Amino acid sequence: MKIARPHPDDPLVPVAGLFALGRPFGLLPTSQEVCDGETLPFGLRQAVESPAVPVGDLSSYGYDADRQIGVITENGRVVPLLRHTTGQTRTTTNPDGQAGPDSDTDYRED
Amino acid sequence: MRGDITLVLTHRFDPTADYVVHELNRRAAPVFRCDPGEFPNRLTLTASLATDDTDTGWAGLLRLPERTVSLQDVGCVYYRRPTRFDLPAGMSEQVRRWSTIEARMGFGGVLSAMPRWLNHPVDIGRAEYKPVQLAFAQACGLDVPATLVTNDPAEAVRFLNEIGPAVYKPFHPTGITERAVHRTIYTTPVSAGDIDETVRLTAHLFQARIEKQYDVRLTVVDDVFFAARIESREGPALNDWRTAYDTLAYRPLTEVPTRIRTAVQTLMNRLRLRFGALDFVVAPDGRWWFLEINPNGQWAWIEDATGLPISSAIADALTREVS
Repeated sequence: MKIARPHPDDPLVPVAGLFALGRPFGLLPTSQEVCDGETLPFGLRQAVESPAVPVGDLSSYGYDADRQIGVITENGRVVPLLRHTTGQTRTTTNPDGQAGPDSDTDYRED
Repeated sequence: MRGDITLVLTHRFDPTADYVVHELNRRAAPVFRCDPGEFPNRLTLTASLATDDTDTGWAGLLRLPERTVSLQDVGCVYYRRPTRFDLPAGMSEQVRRWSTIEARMGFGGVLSAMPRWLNHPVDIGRAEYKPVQLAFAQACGLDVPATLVTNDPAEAVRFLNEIGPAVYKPFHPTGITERAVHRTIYTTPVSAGDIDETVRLTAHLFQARIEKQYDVRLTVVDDVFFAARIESREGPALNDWRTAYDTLAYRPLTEVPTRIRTAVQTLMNRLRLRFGALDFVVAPDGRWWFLEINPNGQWAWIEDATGLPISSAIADALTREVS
């Protein structure tokens, strides 16, 4: 087996960035803590409330291990999940605001 | 056969990856899809370092209950949306932290040594730093709006007074959820009068606001370019099209200016990316302004809206033989 090109020393890539991993599908962490005004950064003051894009009934999701694709049960029929995207960069999960599985950007766990 | 299996790293409910797996299946090209989130409970790794003179690197197996792949048979790795390791319940926080690091450095380390990626996670991580992208894009010959990164309110005021219409944008599309209320930060018009001491609380990015004729989402797969024109008619979408998908209109752009194409290819090479989803604003004078590159950006919705064959190009890239 050939091996990957060596990466130059790069202080911008922390250990967690070496093999970034996201949150499990459908997991929606939240916090009961609310930041007071004095410690709310300017950037977050520009935030707007955004409704979560509904994931739907998680029990209707499945996986076809033969074809290795996601499936969804719809009106009693199992159909490929790929025809059910909502057409956005942020399509399904993670209304917690972390860029999630369907966001444009990877979410790093730590 | 050695080197002809595509390894897809993503979770099970990733419709965008499904497009590619579906295309590979249609071509009868072998695929092994797994999620590091299945490690170590469902996914088993065994790898040994070559000990003879005829080979180098790691040999071994990735094994799910339903299928197995030899590491030596893997050609290209498609890094989509892998999730965190699924460690056994009952571990203490410290044991879980240690085990996660070991899994990352061991499991992730063996995979990181694989030779061909689209894209390698380290390259994705580096390219996601917006200041890195902007500096590289400028160096590669792309037009980049005047930009300030600061936590100094006075410098922010000075910059905003100098450049006229401007926007604030976050470095990362991360919002927050407090008491079940989710808030997102989009590109937001801002003026000097808006600035206060809370700029000091973290890093902020301010940028000149470019007058817009239309947006372009340019998806690049190796040397294949897919440009989609995005028209936003009204409201906040004029600043950030992600705010109002329902109001957008898409159509393929057949021509990407040669100067832009050359500069983007240079940028991709410099960032070590084989895939990128770039956002441009095209001004009324036709000038293309670089906003950002998403090194692991979404693209299926563009394929759906325009018919641009992006999944096919990715399948080509994943299965392309290299000498």
